[in-house]
Amino acid sequence: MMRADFPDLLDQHMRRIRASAAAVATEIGMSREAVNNWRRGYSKPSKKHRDKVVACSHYLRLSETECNELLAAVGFEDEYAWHGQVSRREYNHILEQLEQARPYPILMLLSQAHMDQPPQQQLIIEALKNRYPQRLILPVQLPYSTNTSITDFFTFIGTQLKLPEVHDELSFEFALSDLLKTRQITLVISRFEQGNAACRQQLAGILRNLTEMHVGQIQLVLCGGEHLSALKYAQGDLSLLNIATACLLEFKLDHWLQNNLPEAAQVASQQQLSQVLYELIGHHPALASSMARSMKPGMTVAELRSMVINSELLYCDINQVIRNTSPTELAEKLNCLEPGPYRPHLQDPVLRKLFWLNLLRRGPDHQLHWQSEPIRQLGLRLLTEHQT
Amino acid sequence: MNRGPLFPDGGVIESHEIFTELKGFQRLITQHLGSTGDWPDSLSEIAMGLSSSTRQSVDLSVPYQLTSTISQQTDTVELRGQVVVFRLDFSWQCVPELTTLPDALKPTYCGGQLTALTRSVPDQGFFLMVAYLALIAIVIAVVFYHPVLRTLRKADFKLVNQRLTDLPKLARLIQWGGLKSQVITANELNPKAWKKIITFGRADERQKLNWMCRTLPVKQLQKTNRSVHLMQLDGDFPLNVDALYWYTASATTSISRINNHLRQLSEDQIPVVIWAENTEMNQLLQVNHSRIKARHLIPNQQQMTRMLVPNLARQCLLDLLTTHLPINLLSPFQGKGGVIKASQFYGRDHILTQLQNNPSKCFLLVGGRQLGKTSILKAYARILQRSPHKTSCYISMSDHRLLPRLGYQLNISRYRDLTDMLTQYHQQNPGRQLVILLDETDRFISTEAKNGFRLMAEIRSCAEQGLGQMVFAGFWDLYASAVLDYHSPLKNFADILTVGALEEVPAGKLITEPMQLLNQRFSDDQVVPALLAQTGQRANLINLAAAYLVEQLAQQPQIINANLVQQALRSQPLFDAMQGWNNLSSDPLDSALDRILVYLTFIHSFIDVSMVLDHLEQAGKRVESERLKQAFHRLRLAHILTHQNQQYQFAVPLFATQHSPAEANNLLRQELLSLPA
Repeated sequence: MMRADFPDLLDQHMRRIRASAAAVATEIGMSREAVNNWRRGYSKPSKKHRDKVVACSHYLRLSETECNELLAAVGFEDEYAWHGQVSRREYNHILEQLEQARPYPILMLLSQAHMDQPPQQQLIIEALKNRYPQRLILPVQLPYSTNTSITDFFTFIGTQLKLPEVHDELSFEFALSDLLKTRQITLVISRFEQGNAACRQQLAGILRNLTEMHVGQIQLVLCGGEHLSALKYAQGDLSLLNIATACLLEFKLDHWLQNNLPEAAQVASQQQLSQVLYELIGHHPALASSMARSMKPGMTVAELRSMVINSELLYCDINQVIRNTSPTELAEKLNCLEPGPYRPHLQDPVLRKLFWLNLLRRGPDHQLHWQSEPIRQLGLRLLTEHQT
Repeated sequence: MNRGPLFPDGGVIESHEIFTELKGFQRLITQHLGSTGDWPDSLSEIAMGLSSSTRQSVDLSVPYQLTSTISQQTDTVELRGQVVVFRLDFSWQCVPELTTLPDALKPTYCGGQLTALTRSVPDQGFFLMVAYLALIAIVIAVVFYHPVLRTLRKADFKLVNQRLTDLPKLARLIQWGGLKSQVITANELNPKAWKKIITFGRADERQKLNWMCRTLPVKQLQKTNRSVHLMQLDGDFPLNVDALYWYTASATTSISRINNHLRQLSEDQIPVVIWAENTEMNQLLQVNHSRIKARHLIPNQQQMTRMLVPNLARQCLLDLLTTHLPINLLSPFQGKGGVIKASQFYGRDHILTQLQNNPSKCFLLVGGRQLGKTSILKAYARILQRSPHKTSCYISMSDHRLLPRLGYQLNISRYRDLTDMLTQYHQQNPGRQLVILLDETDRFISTEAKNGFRLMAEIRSCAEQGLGQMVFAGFWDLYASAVLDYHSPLKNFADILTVGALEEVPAGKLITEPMQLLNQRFSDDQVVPALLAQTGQRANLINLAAAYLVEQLAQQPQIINANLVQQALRSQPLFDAMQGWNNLSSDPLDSALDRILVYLTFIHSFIDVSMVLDHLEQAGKRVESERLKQAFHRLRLAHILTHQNQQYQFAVPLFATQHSPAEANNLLRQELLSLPA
């Protein structure tokens, strides 16, 4: 059921960054009229447009929570699972990895889709500030637009970092270099996935230069997923981030349930609920979050299963793979319970896409597993529908 | 006790002489009696010419009685004409009743008062002489037989095991023993350093810290708070420790107070040296060290001494670190990025010699990812830094824009072109040779190729004019441009130096020397060669394997054996490091061809050109032979394949563990499908 405040929320977020309907429409691949209709409450995004709403939230620079709220306003499932309170131990582990990556402390926090990046980003920034009080901790979020020019891209980041006189990539490099001559800094770049690929590559190159040239002065924490991982593993023509330490953040259903037990599950034991949910969704973060939110007392397993196979999030994600893959190859993967071994960089592009969309996960045996059997079955059904 | 006056008058001396003379007569008479058995009638009977003396005349007429009458010519009036009588019973005895001397000049054994005087004068002298001789003997004994001095006298005496609190005492003994210069030489000190060491205990905190900064590898000292200083260690310190906190514990500081002080430190991963000179305090801290929360090192008395001695201090700090901290926190192995410490850079002597010996030549350093090009550039920069006439400028190039970056580095903002910029530099810095080290130059070179090598032609001209030596590091685009493009100005512009696997001996040292520093041992001589063979002597893989070993050894101390090495070789970091070969060229078709060759090697272990052509033909694909040749060349340059006996195989045997033949078969099939016909 659509909530009444979707148009208000959308309007509020668009006004915040002074985004026009035309700009939003261009970025998310919709018509200006469609966006205006959403904004005025004349129509609502359909199930197949869920990913457009997610894209819209990225362009409008919404936080993970705001994105979930916007989706909930349409009646869609969460895009991100709120990771729950991250323990000090987890932070310490992440920061220890950063410290051990000397003399080039570049840490890539990789997460599959539908996890906030990194978990509780603001908290990790606070943890960094506590641990390194003498360092300048600079959080940066990359601009969403894929149409941004390199000049605008670096001016945008320069403004976020309060660097003087940044008007292009070179002035950005020199301004950051000047800063590094006087201060030790920790740069936390989130949403590395989004935006223009050429700009991202350029930024990665500049960061690599500065890390090589100002040893001991700069620490980098880069948060992202598939595209960030590709900068380390896939693009061999320029060894941009091959010196980075990669850390895959994985969502664990059991751990999450400890802090986010749904009200409806109070009667059932956590162990039972965990088992039922695990069989339905595996370790899928956004589905766990949505189901926990929608669960009602007395719901049967069949009803829960129905929620999974009617999930618009899964619908969008699976269709995204179907659109870009040969049906035979995808069918081959969908027909295997364990489609292949896990690798830090999966050579097979289909497996790679499925993994980063969080439809596949790394098993304890270092094999790839489907998140759950219902998800695999849904994939097969959607593929058959697509072929017919 | 009456010891008498120190300077007696003449009568006393004369009386003493008379009695001494009489003792002489008595000895002669006794001897005579012993030899003849008869009492002599006179002294002349005993010895010719001896009848009396100038002081007295002797009468022996009464048997066994010696009667002496003192001469009138004596100087002392009271003695003149007086009689002294001795009788011989068992021994000579004075007869006081018959002796007429005044009491003051009569010896006590003769009933007078002269005992002390007549005996003390010669006795005191004798005593003093004996005491003096005894003292000399003791001093000699001490000098020759005292265990400390015997140790000190040894030519190789070292301060290594001496307690800090014993140093002042020791210094005095060394001074007295005349051993100062010998000890200074044995400990490779100079007199100034010796003085600093022996007076260390009396110095104030600032002086002490200044001296520690000279003995330890410290490049910078700064005060962190009232009780703690931060010491930045030299870049060449061979362990992964960049800084130390220095905390001086006084004799009365409690452990909870130390914890309170250390809790305020901003970086808790930096180890704290707790310096406690007071013996009791030091022992207390050693016993209760587990109560101290921060990462700490507490040198004992001997270690404190070692830390004061310049040639012992560094090793002492290394020992302290390896014994007090987990070794994984100290691991110097660096598996990623250019090596920045000279202590961690091994081999490549040939390349560095070429660079150093040809300052007027330019060089192209070509090789695959993570083979050590950046490390070589940085090692060369360190060498240049030592020369007063040379300046190096290291630039990592993420794109084609060289001039703005060089201008920024050289601090020259206005220039017409490269020649103008370098001319300005030489005008500002006369007599200095400039060496420009350009890293990651593939994008720069490919852009230059598109622009007809305009800037490269200028670079070549600048180099010929002696405006600067240029070293380019890169991979395929650089190599292809220099070797394969006939028209490229790079062809004759620079010498090509290929960076491949590390030489065998340095590759071995790369792992064994740091392990030795960390006090780790290998089970047998075959462990290291096996590791080198599996990693194809790639420095980054050896480092990553070693880093993994150190992690394991920190959790479970053991001797490094073949099993542990196999675990390391199959660890995630090594697996991770072997990725990234799938896009070696910016041309997608070339990269696809590379992948096909690699997948075929996974399947067949050994491949050759005809086998590849067969596979391509079966899949209905055609590839130009030149392109195929270049693909093989590229994979060899990247140190992925090696050519032996007309066949290609993996240069790093470990590489084969990435994919099973079945998996590689699937990937090959996909790759062939995507290849244009």
